[in-house]
Formats: sequence, C-alpha cells, structure tokens
Amino acid sequence: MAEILEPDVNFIKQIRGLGGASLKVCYQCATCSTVCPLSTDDNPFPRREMIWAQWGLKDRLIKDPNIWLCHQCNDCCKYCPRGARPGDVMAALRAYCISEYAVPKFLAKWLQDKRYLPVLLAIPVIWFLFIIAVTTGFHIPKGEEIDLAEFIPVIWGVDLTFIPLSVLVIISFAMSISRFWRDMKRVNLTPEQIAARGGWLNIIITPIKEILAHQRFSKCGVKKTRFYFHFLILWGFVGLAIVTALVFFRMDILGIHGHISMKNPIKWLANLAGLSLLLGSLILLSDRISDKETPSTYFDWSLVILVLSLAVTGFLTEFLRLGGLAGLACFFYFLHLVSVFYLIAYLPFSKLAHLVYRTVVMIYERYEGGI
Amino acid sequence: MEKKIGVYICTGCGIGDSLDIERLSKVATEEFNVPICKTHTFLCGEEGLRLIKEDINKEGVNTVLIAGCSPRVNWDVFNFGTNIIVERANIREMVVWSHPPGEDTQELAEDYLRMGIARAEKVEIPEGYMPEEEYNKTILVVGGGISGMTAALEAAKANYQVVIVEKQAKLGGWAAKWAKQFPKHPPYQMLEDTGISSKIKEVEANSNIKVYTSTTVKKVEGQPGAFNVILSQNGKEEGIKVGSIILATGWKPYDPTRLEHLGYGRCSNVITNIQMEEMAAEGRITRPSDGRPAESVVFIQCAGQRDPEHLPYCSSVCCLVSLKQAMYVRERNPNAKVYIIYRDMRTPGQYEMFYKKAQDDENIFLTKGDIVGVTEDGDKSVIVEVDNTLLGEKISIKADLVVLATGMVSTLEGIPNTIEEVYAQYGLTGEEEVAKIKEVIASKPQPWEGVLNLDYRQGPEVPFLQSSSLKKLSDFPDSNFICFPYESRRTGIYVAGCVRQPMDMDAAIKDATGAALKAIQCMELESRGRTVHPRSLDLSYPIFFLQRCTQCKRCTMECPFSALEEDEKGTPKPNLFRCRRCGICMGACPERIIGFKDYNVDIISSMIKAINVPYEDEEPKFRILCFACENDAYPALDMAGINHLSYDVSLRVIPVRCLGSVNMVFISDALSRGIDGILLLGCVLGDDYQCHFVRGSELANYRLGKVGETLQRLALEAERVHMEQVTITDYYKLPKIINEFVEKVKEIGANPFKGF
Repeated sequence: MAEILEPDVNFIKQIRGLGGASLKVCYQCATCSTVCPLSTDDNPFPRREMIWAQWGLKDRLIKDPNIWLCHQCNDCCKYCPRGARPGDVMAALRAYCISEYAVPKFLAKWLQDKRYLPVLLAIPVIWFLFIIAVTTGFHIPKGEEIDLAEFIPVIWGVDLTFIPLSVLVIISFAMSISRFWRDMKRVNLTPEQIAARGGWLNIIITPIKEILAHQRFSKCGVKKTRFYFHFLILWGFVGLAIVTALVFFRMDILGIHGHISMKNPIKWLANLAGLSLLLGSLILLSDRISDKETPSTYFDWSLVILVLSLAVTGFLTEFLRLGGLAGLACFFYFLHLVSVFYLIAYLPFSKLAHLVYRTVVMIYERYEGGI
Repeated sequence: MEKKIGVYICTGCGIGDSLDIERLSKVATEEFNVPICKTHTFLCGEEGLRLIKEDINKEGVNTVLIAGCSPRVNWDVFNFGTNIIVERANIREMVVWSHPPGEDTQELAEDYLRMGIARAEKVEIPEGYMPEEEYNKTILVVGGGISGMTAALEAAKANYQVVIVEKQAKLGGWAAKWAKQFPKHPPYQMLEDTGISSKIKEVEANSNIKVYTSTTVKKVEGQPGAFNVILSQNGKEEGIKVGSIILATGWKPYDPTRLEHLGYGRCSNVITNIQMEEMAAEGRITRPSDGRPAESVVFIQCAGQRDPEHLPYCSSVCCLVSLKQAMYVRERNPNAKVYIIYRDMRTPGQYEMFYKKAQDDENIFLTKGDIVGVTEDGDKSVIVEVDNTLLGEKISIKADLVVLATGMVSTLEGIPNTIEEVYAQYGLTGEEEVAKIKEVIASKPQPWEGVLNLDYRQGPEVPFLQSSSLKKLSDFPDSNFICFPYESRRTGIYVAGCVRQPMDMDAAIKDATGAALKAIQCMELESRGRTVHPRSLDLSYPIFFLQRCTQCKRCTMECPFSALEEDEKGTPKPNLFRCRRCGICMGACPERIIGFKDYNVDIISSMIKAINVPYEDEEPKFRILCFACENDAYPALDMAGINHLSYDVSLRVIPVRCLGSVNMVFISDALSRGIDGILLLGCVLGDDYQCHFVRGSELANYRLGKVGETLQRLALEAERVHMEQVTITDYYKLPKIINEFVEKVKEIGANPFKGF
C-alpha cells in the first residue's frame, strides 16, 4: 500500500505568510510548467511543487533542488490563469527552507519576523558603542585629514569584530549545508562518475562561472530588470570583497595605516564597486515599488533596505570624511559598520543566504545530472 | 366554396431578367385556364398589393397564387384575410437565384407554377379544431419539490388554477432536507439558506393553488384540455379534471449498495452524500461507527457515475455538493482535514468562484485521482488508496469518514415506459386480441407504482430517449432537449427539473418557469383551435375517413405523440388535442384516408402530376423530384438560393411538413409518371436526432427500406430513391448532395415509364 499522506497544515500557513498567500487556489492546469524554462516532461516544475505545497508536504519540498534552480523570472505568475502566483510560492518555499536548515534556528525565525528587528539591530549597536566607549571614548577626530580609526580603531572595530563573526557564519553555513546536501542528494556517485564529470573542481567551478556571468537570468521573459540589478549588486559585492581583502593585506600584513589616497587604484575599485552596489540597489528598489502584484514581505524588503543602506552609508561616510565634517562622518561610519555587521552576522538566516543555497544546488545539479 | 384563382407573377428580384414571363403566363392562362394572371415588377410593394386586392374585391378572386419569392418570406405581406387562400410558387430562391437563365430554367419555373396552381386548386381553408366541451385550463403539477412548487407559483401568478400532487406528507422535496445550498449570489462564496420554507408558505398561501399531499396519480386519461385524472390519497380515490400537466417528480439517489468497491456497506464509516447532508442538517458530522466527530473526511467524486457499469452520465451537481459539504466539515471543526478526490472538478459558470473559495481553505486538499482501494483499519478508520494523482504518485489517505458523491437518477427509472414493457409485466406479448389484453390487465392490480399512469395507446409514462433501433438510451424523458426543453412526446405534458435531467436548484427553478409557460401556451392555443409547438398556431388538423380503415394500426403505432387510441377492432380514435399536425399518420396510412384540408395525399399527388415530364426528345430530359422537410431542408434550399449556389436544374422541390408525412404512394406515383429519381431531404435521425417530430425522418428512412420491393415490381432500380439528412446550416453542402444524386440517376438512365 502507498504511503499514508498527512498534510502539514502549519507548513501551509507559514508558506502563505512568507509570500505564498495564493498557493491554495492553483488548480493544476500546468500553464506554469509550459512557460517555465526549468520544466521538463518528467519534472513538471513548478506544477508539482504547487500541489505538494497545497497538500503541506513539507518534507518533499525543503529538500527539493528545483525550488532553488528557479530564479523567479515570474513568467509563471504572469500566465497563471488562476492568480496562484507560483513564482512567489517558490520564493516563500525558499525562505522556509532557509529557516528550516538554519543553525541556530531561532535566528532565522527572528529574521522573518519584524518584531525582532530592534533586537537584531541592538546587537551590533551595543557592540560597537561598547568598543568605542572602551577604546577611544567617543573621540571625534580633528585636523585636515580625518582618520576614522581615531573614532573606532580598525583592529577592534573591524578585524576583531568581523573575523570571528565570519568564522561563526562559516560554521553555521557548514552545518546547514551539510544537512541540506544529505537531504537533497538522490544519487551517490562513484569516483569514476565524478571523474567523468570532470572532477569536483569542474563540478564546482562551472556553476560559479555561470552565476557570475548571470546566464540563467538572461532567460527571464517577464522580468528583464532582475538581470540588471542582480548583476550590479553581485559584482558590487565581489568588488568590495576584493577591496576588503586588499586593505586587510595592506594594513595587517604590510602594516600601512591611514586612509588610502583617492589616486590609489584600490580606491578606484572600491568606489566603482560601491557605485555598482548603489545603482543596483536603487534599481531593485524601484522594481519592488513598481511591482504591485508580488506580495510584499518583510523578509524580502529587509534585504532591499540593507543593501541600499550599505551603499548609502558607505558613500556618505566617504564624502563627509573628505568634506571635513568629522562628526557626521563618524555617525555614518557607525551606521555603516552596523549595516555590515547585520549583513555578515545574519547572512545564513536572511534572504541573502540564497547566495550559498542556490550555488550549492547548482553544484548539485551538475553533480547529479552531469554536464 | 367556388374557387376563383388569380395568378400573380412578380418580375422583381431578377425574375423578369431571367425568365420569359409571357411564356410563363401562358402556363396559367392556356394550360390551366386560370381566369386572372397578372405580372408586376414589385408585387410586395404598395402598388402590387393593391393590384391583388382590387381583383379580390372586384373580380371575386378568392385563391391567390403568388409566383415569386419563397413562402418563407413576405407571408405577412401577402395576407388578405382568413377567407382568401394564398399559395406561393417559389421561382425566386429555387429558380432564378440558383440557376442561370436558359431553356432549362424556364422549364423549371413553369413546373413550379404548375405545381402551385395544382395545389391552389385543391387546398381548402382549415377552420381549426374546436373543443366539443369547455376546454379545461387547470394545470396539474405532479411533484411538490422545488421544481413543482416553482411551476405552480408561476402559473398561479399568471392567474391559472393549479393542483399540486405530492407523494410525501409534506411539500419541499429534497431541498427541504438540505442544511444549506451552495452560493447563488455574488461573490459566490458563502453558503446560503435553501429558501424552501418560504416557498412552501407561499404555495400554501396562494388561493389559486390546491395542494394534495400523501397523494399519487393513479390514472390519467383523455387529452389536453380534458384530462381526467384519478388521484389516490391514502387509499381514497378522487377524480379531477385538468387541462395540462407539469411532470416535476424529480430524482432519486443512485443505489449505493452497488458501490461496494468504494467501501459502501463494507466499511462502517463510508456514507453517501445524502447521508452527509442529513447529518449536517442535524448539526453534527460524526463517524457512524462510534459517533466520534470526524477529524478527516474524504470525498470520492463520480461515485457510480460516468461509468458504463453504473450511471453513464455526470449528475452535474456532485462536485458542488462535495465542496459545500467540505465547508460544513470545516465550519464545525477548525482542525478537520477534508480531502476531495475528483475525476474532473465541474463547477460551471460563477460556481468557479465557490470552488476557488473552498480551495483556498488550508485544510481542504484536492486532487484528481482514481480510487484503487477502500479498506477498513483496526479502529474503523478508512484507508483510501488513490492512483494517478496530481501529486505524481500513488497515495493513501486515512479518514474518519468517507463520503461517496453519488448521482441523480430520474424518478421515471425502473418504471415500465413503453406498452411492450407493460405487456411484459403482465406476461403478455401484445399479439393477443385487444379484448383479451384488456381483460388480463384489468384482472390484477398494477404490479408497479407508476408516476403518471397514462391510459395511452403507446405506454403509461412520457417516453424515454430511444435509439433508432428502439433501444432505450437513458432513463430520462425524451424532449429534444437542445431545441425544445420542457417538451415531452406527450402533448400537454411538460417536464421540468431533475426528472428530465440532473440539475441544481437554480436550473430547476428556471426549468419549472419554462414548463409553466409551455403548459399555459398549450392550453391557450388549443382552446382557440390552434396547434402547439412546433407547428404553433396551425389551424389545420387531420381528418380520418374511417369507413375505409383496414385497422392496420400503423397510424396508432407510429404517431410520435400517441395521439391515436384504438377501439376493440383496432380502428383509430383520434385525440386531436394530443396531435401536433406533423402528418406522420398521413404518411403511414396505406389506405390514404388521413389528410388535412391544406395538406393531403390528393394535393401532393396533384402537384406531382402537374410536373411536365418531357419524353419526345432524343436526349431525355431528366426530372428529379425532391421532398424537402419544411423545418430544415427547405430553408436550407432557400439559403442555397440566397447565396446563389447553383445545383442541377432538373430538381423539383415539394415542401412537406415532415419526411414522416411522405406517403409511399407518392414514390410510386412519381415513378410511374416518368420522374427519374426522388430525393428526400430530411432532418438528422438516430440517437442525436433533430427531427422536430422526433421520429419522422427515422420513419421515412424505415419506409424507404421497404419501398425497394415496390420498385422491383415496377422493374426500377432502388437507387432512384434516396434520402439525405441535412441540417439548416448544411445549405452549402446541398449542391454537392443534389448533383451527386442526379449524376447517379443519370448513370442509371432515364425512367422507362416516360410517356406511358
């Protein structure tokens, strides 16, 4: 006899709360599958995921790689005759999946619930206020060249904050992803099969190249803008990561302190990446405002605001510092550090976790299906 | 009446350009010696009409033959009062608009004129069949459910006296047992009250309605306007007289004991949707096994429906009923889970909104699927196994309660319908003497409980839909439901609601309103001497010259409306208020003793004889006769003309009321006159027949099968007579049909009887 199904009603309620409010009205016509570039004859995506979600079959959905392969082009939402918005349901499922695999779980719940925003913000605010108080005692730098290290020492405010934080984040991700990988894995390849796929290096590198080139976004029919803002934001982050690494090398390895001159190519790269982030986040913002159909969720909006605030506080700090307004520069530098803390510390629990989940699934796709 | 014929040839609409009008006039004046023959370029105009009216007033013309457009147009213009006969020769659509000018077309026009004059000489003015005693206008409504009460109220509001007969002790029918009904008003999301109790009060308060409860109809005899009905109330009999009847006895549920494969009778917690409704009306949804509230409920759709082993049809409401009952479960228990396993979710029209609403409930789960197993668990829970689901796999569901969505069966199901079935109930074959049959039937009580118990020659109930081989196709009354809903094959008896087709309450209300209107129309037309649908307003009626009757019983057996009863010897006893004037009896009668004043064997035969059949030429000119049904084929021929589609010029068309009225004597008459071929154009026959008189084209087809012998006796080929089925929209196919037939006749060769 076939397995006795026991729908998880609570799961359905949560998916509806995460932006999949319309999921129950799907009547399985499969219009979504005919327009979806991911759908194949034996994998009717997202039709099958829709009825799984309607029936509250949580266990099948959280380990379903397909929901991550979806880049939410929203062609399905456009053509759905029933207004069931499958694309948004897939987004809600991804949000659920992030919280399901999160370690520790409570943080993911906090990230999805706006009542916890003050707590989440209070942690970096208190941490940085504490550091400033014990190190410089809120000293506002003076002179022609304002050195913000006089306000917050780099070693305390940056290195000793973000290096341990990154380690924790990596541990958290490692625990989540290893469980996710085990749940998702349907095949076990022999070393020969792996070799036939060009080895692990090829399995991992090829999807990453694909991601950086944004090949899948270019398939989107309805939402072309998605390609632009995602491309700008991703490459902005990549540029800023490179700059951070270089600055770390310059300061902590070479021992050169003080702000980098505007004539330095590192500064050029930093500003270029910052501009890319700003522009990308502004397009993202206008896209979200103009899209009246997609249900607005806190989980989604918090990422939009975060990316925007990172870019805005970064640039404001730079301009105010160069403009000699030390007090204001210190204030925005403080806000900038809080934003960066929010970004890094809550990475495995926020919508940005898709960076890791989607990459892993694309690697798995290559692992399972080959090239 | 001494006839004075006036022939008026219109030369407008291109007629004058195509034909030699002078030559045409000579046919009337020289061949037929018609005293008045005039031509005009615009006969339907003021001047043209004045010309005719002057002749009527001054010259004493009382029979007018218009040679011009089709009789289907301008019939209201060429109307000179009830005392003036108007006949038409269709030389526009059937001659000049469908054939190029020339000698052949001229001959065609002349033949139509000849046929027209021959007909004009023979027809008489029908005066209408008037009742001998006062025509009763009371309406009997059988069944006091939603349909019956609606029909009664509608008729009562139009100021007719109504009698409702209800078998149960109370009015209300099934609807009175329902807890709620599915939404009928925007936004079509909330369950509604059935409103049945207010309807009952309205019926009881209406002074035009008399209600008999706990009453059945024991017998109905007579005809519309004079039905004698015997009612039986708790064994007490009472006779009433009514004018028309509305049959609204509704439906009964399909027998669930036949659904053992779905667990019924085998698992204690498997019930039907009727039982579910009863529970909900009592305010509980519990497991029959232990009375515990049901936490999970599975609905199995199409239970015993759309299945050749059970009901072959869809009952149209069960999907909505299950969605409604799912809401009952959800309203009573916020944690209960409801599963609906369907074959196709059918929620037509605005009900889609209700479906969407039910779907949106987090605790309602739907999937398409096939039930492969229903078994009972240790704690009496039911395990339902479903294959081919939308989930892409075989699944099992554990349920406290399983509800089978069983369908609707007409209350006429299982009741002897034809006279043959009645004979079988009494162990008779029907071959016995009439007196013997009557004696056997009278000797024992009726072994079944009927609904109307009509004392009719052809059977006691309104006939079911039959196939051409007389095999029963369904247990629903035949009413040509596409063209004429509410009609039955028993004139004056109209059928409304679920007794004729499964439907929801809204549809039943509409149905009942329509049936009430039909019943009123019938009584008002007939009491004025006119016939009912589909020949509404016709004043003619069949006249039987019974002295020459040979008691062959063909007319009594073939009348689609059972209008003719028989006396002991088998002589027909016409009930003209049951008659619809189709002339099928006229076509059936081998003695040719049945006819109408304006439509009979003599008239048609005269028209055939009027056709000029040339035989002197070396190259024989073919003459093909066509009998075209007035309802579809004749209009289609007109439309071919309107569209200027051309077909073989040898065709001469005689319109007939129905192909069933074509007497086989016409065939032998025509062939012995030298006509080369005969084409019969009639309505589609068979299971999805379109014959306006139900069986006319089918009977014509049957009779043609027998005419082969006659042809052989004349040493003529059977292929010379051919029947085609056409619909009104087939006009564009007609040239091909006609030309192919003519070609075939030409291949056979000219009729050797030419010139004899």
